Amino acid sequence: MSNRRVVITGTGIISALGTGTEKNWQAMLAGQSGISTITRFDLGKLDARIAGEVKDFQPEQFIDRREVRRMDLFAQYAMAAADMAVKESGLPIGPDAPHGYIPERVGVIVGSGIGGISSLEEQHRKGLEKGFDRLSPFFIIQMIINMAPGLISMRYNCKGPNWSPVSACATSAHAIGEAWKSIRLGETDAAIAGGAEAAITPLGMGGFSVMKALSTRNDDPARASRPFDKERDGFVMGEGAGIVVLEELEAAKKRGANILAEVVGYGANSDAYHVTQPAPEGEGAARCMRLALESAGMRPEQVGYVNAHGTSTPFNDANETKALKAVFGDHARKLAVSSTKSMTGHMLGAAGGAEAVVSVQVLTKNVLPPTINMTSPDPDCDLDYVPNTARDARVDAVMSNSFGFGGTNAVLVFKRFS
Amino acid sequence: MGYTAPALKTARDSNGGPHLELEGSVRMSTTATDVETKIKSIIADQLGVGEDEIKPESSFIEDLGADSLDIVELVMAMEEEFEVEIPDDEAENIKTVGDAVNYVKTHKK
Repeated sequence: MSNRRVVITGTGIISALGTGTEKNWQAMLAGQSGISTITRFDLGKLDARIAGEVKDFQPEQFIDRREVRRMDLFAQYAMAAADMAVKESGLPIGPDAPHGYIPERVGVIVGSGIGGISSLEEQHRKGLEKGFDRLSPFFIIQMIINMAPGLISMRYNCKGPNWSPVSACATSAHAIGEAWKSIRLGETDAAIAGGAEAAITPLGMGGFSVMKALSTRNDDPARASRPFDKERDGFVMGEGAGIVVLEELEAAKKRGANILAEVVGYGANSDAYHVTQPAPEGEGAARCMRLALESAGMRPEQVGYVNAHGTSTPFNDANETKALKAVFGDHARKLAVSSTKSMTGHMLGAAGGAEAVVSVQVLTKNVLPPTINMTSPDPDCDLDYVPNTARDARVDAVMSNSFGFGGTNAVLVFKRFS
Repeated sequence: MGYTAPALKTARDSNGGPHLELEGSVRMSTTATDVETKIKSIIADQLGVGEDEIKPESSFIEDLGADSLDIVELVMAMEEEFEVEIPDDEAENIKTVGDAVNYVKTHKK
């Protein structure tokens, strides 16, 4: 049963660019920035005062009003993105649906880098004010990360493996990679996988801000996230969710599913170097990209586009560029690389899922999304980053990079389905 | 009567968790009808049901779809609203809307 093929049949994304795959895709093709001054809370003396807040999300469109108040915002994003992905896929589960998957063989792997931090802040405040015997009985279920896949499994009756990777900015790439592996090895037949994040809160912003990880281009929010540009000064916090439906190829064909793309490779490893800085020369990242290519049985030359991690921090972008050159050699010059974080901001644990959705769009629509805000060339970042304007291009394979604090790396490879 | 019924205001924060606040600085004892009205309003808000569905004989769990966590939240909201303490063993006996109204009427200061 080993090495079965795995395809993507549904996508769901929520970001600062909007709710839904089409809305995000159109905004990306237009090179729009979703970054603006934070409106959600009093910023006090925070250094970084901008973020990619989701602005159009209406949870009641996806979730019963009563359930909404029992969920942290990150779980609401997860439920909504899963709903969009399952609807697009038409994923049938249970004996009553034609060609329905056996519920016990459908997994849900959905993570978050941080989880229910706004609930944690609110309840801590309440505890200090009124006493810790007056906390909401929903606090724990709002805060814990695996409530997102738990809630998704309850809605769709997915009785297979149900868990959450927590690996900072690589979280949802790990989720999709592990779901792919599980289906590939025959442990499951289908999965809902990805991640969600909602950490634009005083603690979330304050915490990253004092690390000096965030851009402080507060007076020009739309131009603050500028991966690979010489003037980049840190990442811009984003939020939202990115979730896909994965199915075993033969089962998907049998039910007549609309196959969007194939997942062909996954690498996961560690820098074993530093808590936040990438290993010199992007050594761990390069090793991870090679692992992904190896698992796909592909040569570097077969990849036409890389959706970069591209956070807009000085360290990441220079090291990722070095890693790409190390892995792709001469082909690095022909490769198109872009960072959609230039538009969405960095969605942390949701980034890999969102960028998987983007990768699928690249393969189905034959357009490469740009890296916006590229105005000052950086000699350390000298690849083709699809600067500022989307580009028509038909590529057959896409690599998506995700690297996280803690030195964790996850790389996915997607292929045009044929 | 120099008394204004405090308006029940439901505030929601970003994660949707409501908390109940009493507006106005004067907080005075409420009438029997107020108790019913307020309890209905709390239930409607927390359980997401219409006030017309809430009858004295309605069971929180069987008729209004509450689970054990909802009951804890309802009890805490009533404690705060009416400044009563509802011990756990007493809370276990509150199964219907009528039980809740009676408990508050009997025990509120």
